[in-house]
Amino acid sequence: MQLNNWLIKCNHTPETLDRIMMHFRKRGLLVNEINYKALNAQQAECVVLFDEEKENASRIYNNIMRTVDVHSIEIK
Amino acid sequence: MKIKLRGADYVVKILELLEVDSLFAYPGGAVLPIYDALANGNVKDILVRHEQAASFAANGYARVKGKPGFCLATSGPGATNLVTGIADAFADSVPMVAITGQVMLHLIGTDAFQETDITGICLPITKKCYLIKNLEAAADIFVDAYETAINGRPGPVLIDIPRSVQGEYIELDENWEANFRKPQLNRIYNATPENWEAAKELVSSAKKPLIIAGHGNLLSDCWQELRDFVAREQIPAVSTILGMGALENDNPFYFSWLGMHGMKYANTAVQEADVILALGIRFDDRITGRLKDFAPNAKILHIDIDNSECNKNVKTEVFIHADLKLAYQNFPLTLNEENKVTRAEWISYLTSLKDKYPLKPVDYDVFNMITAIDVLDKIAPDDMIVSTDVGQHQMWSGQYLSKLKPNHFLTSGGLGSMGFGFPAAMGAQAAAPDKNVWCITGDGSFQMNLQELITCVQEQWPVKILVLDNNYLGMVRQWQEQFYSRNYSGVDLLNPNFVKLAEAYGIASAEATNTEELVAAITKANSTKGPFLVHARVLKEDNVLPMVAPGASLSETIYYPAEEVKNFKKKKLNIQDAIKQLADKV
Repeated sequence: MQLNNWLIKCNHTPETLDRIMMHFRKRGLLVNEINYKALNAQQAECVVLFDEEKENASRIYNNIMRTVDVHSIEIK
Repeated sequence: MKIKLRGADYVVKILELLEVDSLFAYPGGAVLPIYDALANGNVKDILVRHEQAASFAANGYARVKGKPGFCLATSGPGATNLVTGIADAFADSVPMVAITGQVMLHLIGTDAFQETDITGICLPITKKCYLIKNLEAAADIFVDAYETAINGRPGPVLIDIPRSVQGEYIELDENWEANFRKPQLNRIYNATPENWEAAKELVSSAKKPLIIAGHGNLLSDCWQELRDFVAREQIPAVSTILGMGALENDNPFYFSWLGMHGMKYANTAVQEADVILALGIRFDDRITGRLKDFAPNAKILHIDIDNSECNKNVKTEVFIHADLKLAYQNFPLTLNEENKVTRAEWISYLTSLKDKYPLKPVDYDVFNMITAIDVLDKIAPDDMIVSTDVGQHQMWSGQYLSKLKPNHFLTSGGLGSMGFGFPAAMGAQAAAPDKNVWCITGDGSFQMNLQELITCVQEQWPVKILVLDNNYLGMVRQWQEQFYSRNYSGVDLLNPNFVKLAEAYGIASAEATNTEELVAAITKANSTKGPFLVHARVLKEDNVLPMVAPGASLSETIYYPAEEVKNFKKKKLNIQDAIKQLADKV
């Protein structure tokens, strides 16, 4: 397993965090750590740490990027 | 000067400003104020008989009209009944706005009567969900929802409105309607000159380039641009089943659709191509077959409106993030004196494959689903809109319908929802009242939403229904035959008499047990002003071929049994003559 550390830049909405998390939940994955932080009334950042192989992580990446309120994912 | 509006009236006014002319809906406690307002407004609400039909109808409406379909349901079970239709729209990228009533704001979280967390339930199957907590945000939410549904990759959104909010009052400027901001379509174009340079190099040097045209061509309203592009570049094309209609069936560059029940020659073309231009497709597993063996010789140029499709299923050589309509305008010319010859040879080869692996010819002496679909295809007007349900009849409709116009073939491609066809046909009829709309359905699928017969009567929609009844869940039976040693389980269907059922709903109907009766029934249906149901009792056991078995590669496409193929030429009839003879007889 590989530790993934992602910084997700997103809109700050009531559902953004759920929309990020659902891609882990639907695969039965555990998230090691999550830190969601509102930067202002509109923008937020979310740091997610999880263990997953590269190929699966890449598909999670694509799934999250389909979210309207997600702008970018920075892989640390 | 200020005016005061009740929330429900405000919502209906907003719908009017959004030019919503058809709202597929079912009332209930949590939307009573909205229904109260609808009674005085200009939005036509169509009373379906089950909320699932409302969301499927909104889908059919959206595909034909080219703008979002709207549906409305009450909280709790009303809202959850919409879910399959919303998921269907998400899978096929169809723009839709679903509106649900919710329990009063202060009751959320108390497990109140008919309370469900519908915004939570719909998270994975919508582009975005909204809960209107105060009326001041309502107009912005509706406009944002509409724009979200149409912009980028289209899809469904959901707006949940607590009943208490519907009953509150908002103070507005007198001229608020004049200042209402209409939703805008913003076409995405993130292609760079480097992208086009790479694309040009890739395609120019290809010896066997192949276009796979997907639903994106229809959703982006750019089938004409696709046709022009194909003709300009002289590159052969296949389509996905959802991309059907984007290219004309008799276009010499078009080699039909690929995939699990696609043409063997289309699948072979993919497997032999050296460059694939994937235009508005998402490489669904039903078109790729075994992924690791998909297009083994090809480099992929993928153009899509959704950046998240880049390398999602298939590794891409060049990905261009753009709306196809704009992409076609900017695609550089790749045809040159050198590749003109190789492209012509490639097309000639594919044409020979098409001749070698045709679809099974129609045999009018055998009354099976193929015969029935072919007869409808030959008799119906050229601009017929067809919706299908899901199963064998769906695949055969894709194979044997030959003259479909763009956005005139409505099928549940991604989700594969039985029960889709009939309500989608209703939505199509609402969108195009003057068109000949046929729903081709199976005996299994039709029974999932047949309660809507009375909706057609009430709305005076002249939807025609062709029920292909083999007393089986045919596709499941086929798989049990092929992959479970004919251990048929849960597929025997005892059916009602559909003709009498239609009569009970006040719908004209006819039964057909052979080709001649079917010609008569369809002819009668087409000359009937109202809805009409044709109950065709077809051959019980028949298998859809060609087929790529689950887990197999496109290279392993199963064609028809050799014995059957030998008889193809003997059976081959002049179809037009045969139909004419039958019609004359009738």
